[in-house]
Amino acid sequence: MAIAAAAVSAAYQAAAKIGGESIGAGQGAGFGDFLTHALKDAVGTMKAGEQAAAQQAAGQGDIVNVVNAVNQAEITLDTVVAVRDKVIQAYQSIMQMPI
Amino acid sequence: MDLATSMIIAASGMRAQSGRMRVIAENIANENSTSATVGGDPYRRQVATVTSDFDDALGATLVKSGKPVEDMSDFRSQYDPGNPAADKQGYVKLPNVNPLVEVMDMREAQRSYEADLTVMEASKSMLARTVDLLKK
Repeated sequence: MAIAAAAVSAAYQAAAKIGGESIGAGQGAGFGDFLTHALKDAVGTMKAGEQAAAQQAAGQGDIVNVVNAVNQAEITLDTVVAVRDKVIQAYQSIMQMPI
Repeated sequence: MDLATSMIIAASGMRAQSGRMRVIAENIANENSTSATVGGDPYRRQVATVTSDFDDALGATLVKSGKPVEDMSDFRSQYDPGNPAADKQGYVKLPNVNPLVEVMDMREAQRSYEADLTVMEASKSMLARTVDLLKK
């Protein structure tokens, strides 16, 4: 079981890095912090996309930039949502564990 | 993120090809533009230039459209004494634009743009399908 635990820890670290924050053991940062960071990151990318779209609507900037920014935002948000769903699913599995 | 980078590179290619397309549009539109003054030079054909440009922040070589250069080949000459731009002999200088060359150039820009689009689509679907693994 030690191997599985190490794998879970590594997966969690990798997921935490997507949110721009490395959470080490004993640092006191939890899943909430990770989610906050990841969401902030996603919101930042979304804002960049919106800004590019607004510029395009105002007649400046070019459509390729808009497509790129919106694409980036979409993928970031998708990743964050997928990771959140996965972790919540794991949490629920634990909560439903018969004691 | 290599896939995100490849999308940015493809976008730079698309931008360069749109710049090239703009120059081609100018050439085609000005195919018959004569000089405003008698005996003066008409519109001179522009040639789009595309250079590669290493982006340090991204760590990748992007495409950059450079300043268009002028095609110094000879102008066409046509006998048209009624034209206000005609010289004393009745010849009018016409731009050195060959519509066939422009159409071929346009096709090339179009295909290149489509290739970049395909790269973008492929990168995006690779990324999206990787994220999809989490959703199972």
